[in-house]
Amino acid sequence: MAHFFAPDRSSPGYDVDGKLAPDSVWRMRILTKQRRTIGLWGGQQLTVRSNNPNVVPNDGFAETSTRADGLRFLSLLGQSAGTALLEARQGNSGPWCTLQVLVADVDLSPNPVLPDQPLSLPWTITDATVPISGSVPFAAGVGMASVVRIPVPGTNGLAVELSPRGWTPKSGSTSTLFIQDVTGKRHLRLDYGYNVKSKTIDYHWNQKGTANTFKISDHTTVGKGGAAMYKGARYLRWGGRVLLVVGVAVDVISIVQASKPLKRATEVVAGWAGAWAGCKVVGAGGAYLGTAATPGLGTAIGGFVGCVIGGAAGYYAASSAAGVVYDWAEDTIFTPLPPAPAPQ
Amino acid sequence: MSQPHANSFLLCFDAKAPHWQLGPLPPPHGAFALLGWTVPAPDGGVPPAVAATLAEALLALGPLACAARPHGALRLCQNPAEASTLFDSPDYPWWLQGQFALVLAPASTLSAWPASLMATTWASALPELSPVGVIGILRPGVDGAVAGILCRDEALLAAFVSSLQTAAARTGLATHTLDEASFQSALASSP
Repeated sequence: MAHFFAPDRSSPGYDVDGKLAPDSVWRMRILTKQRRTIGLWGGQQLTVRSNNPNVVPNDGFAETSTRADGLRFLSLLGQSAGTALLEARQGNSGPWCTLQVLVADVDLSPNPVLPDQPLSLPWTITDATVPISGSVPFAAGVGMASVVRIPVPGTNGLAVELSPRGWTPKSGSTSTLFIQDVTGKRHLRLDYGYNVKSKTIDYHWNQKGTANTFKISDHTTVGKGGAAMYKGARYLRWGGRVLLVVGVAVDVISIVQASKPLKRATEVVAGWAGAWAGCKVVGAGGAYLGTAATPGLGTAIGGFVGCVIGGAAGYYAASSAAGVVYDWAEDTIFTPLPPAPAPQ
Repeated sequence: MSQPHANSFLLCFDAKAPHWQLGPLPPPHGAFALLGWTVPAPDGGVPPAVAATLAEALLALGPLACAARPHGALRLCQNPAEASTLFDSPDYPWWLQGQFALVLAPASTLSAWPASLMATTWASALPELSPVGVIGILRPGVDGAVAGILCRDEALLAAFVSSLQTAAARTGLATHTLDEASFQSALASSP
């Protein structure tokens, strides 16, 4: 005798009456818009149909097993709330067995239906929903290195920069790296062009007022390291500024999209301030060490490396600290003290 | 080995090379000379003696005007001490080719400087500025280590050379006129 039964003998949501077989099910419940599986034993040749397609549509039931072993597993969709009768019959004969299917938005019965599907909706990752992650601290570090004056300790106000001071022609400067005071009057700069000393076009230092500090005279030709530094400084100048803009843009977006915009804004402002300070402090340390190793090139390399590291670390530390302080301040409740009479 | 051109001003009247960064040479208008110097400058820049001598030689032709803030303004210099500071101005750095000196006729009505003075086409500014009393232009070349002097005519250039020789001699500097190749070599061998 054919009968419906609960797959894997799970009982919640399946009402067993044991009339046709010990495990025969007379009723099952499905939550709206979900699918549940029902087993059919001994019904290889039977046609199964829902008598109320609005509630349980006759969609083929997505059978998952062959009928050779006598078992069929039918996946029923609870299309809308209501009741349907699932009938298994041969030809035009009367139904061999039936199953009442109750579709409801909520199952409040004593043995409520357990969803066959996971409760959470599956994530479908698209460009729009992919979680945003990134390295703004890194962007902050490199970005800062492209715009900040990195002080060189012990040089009476010189700092590493990527732009000249003072007015320059529209064609720009042929130098890319500047170790200069705030006016640009004292400077050591890495230049490319005709060198009046070597009578050729090469990479060379030009300086004014810094010979005693760096022991580099005007028009001193540099080697491959200097050439690489010249090009690197150019890439850093423009690439760093691009990263700076990107970093700021990402942070602005993060403020707009944040559930707590004020907190996020606090973190961002603190982060950039920390990046600036970190760049200055660690960059100065790097420049000092670099000067001790190789005055000029070492000064610049040490300064920039220190600035990038210090800028990134400063951003991260200040941003994190600002978030903690914000949370602390937000959770702090000030209770007014009750008035007390003045002491006599 | 002795340096025949040590402690000297160098003049070159046939300079053509683009590496001097003075635009197309010779300029299409006026009389031009390339100026260099072999005076030691251990701390870089234009040596004070060179700056003072050049200022004096230019002032012998007329008052000078150079670039000053706000952008587009001119600073008038009528004595060598004032004029020599144009080689040392951080606002319009000589060493970055961001400066110039205009030699003015006594009745000059010049009030501002055209942007073309800072471009490689600087020499074309002379015919434009002549009607307002500009008779010569001094502009820095590559790295500010050389300069180009453009005068409205040969006579004025000759007068400049003469005053340069006089002023240089007073400060113990020689003046040499060289062809371009010798000019390059003399600069390269300078201390």
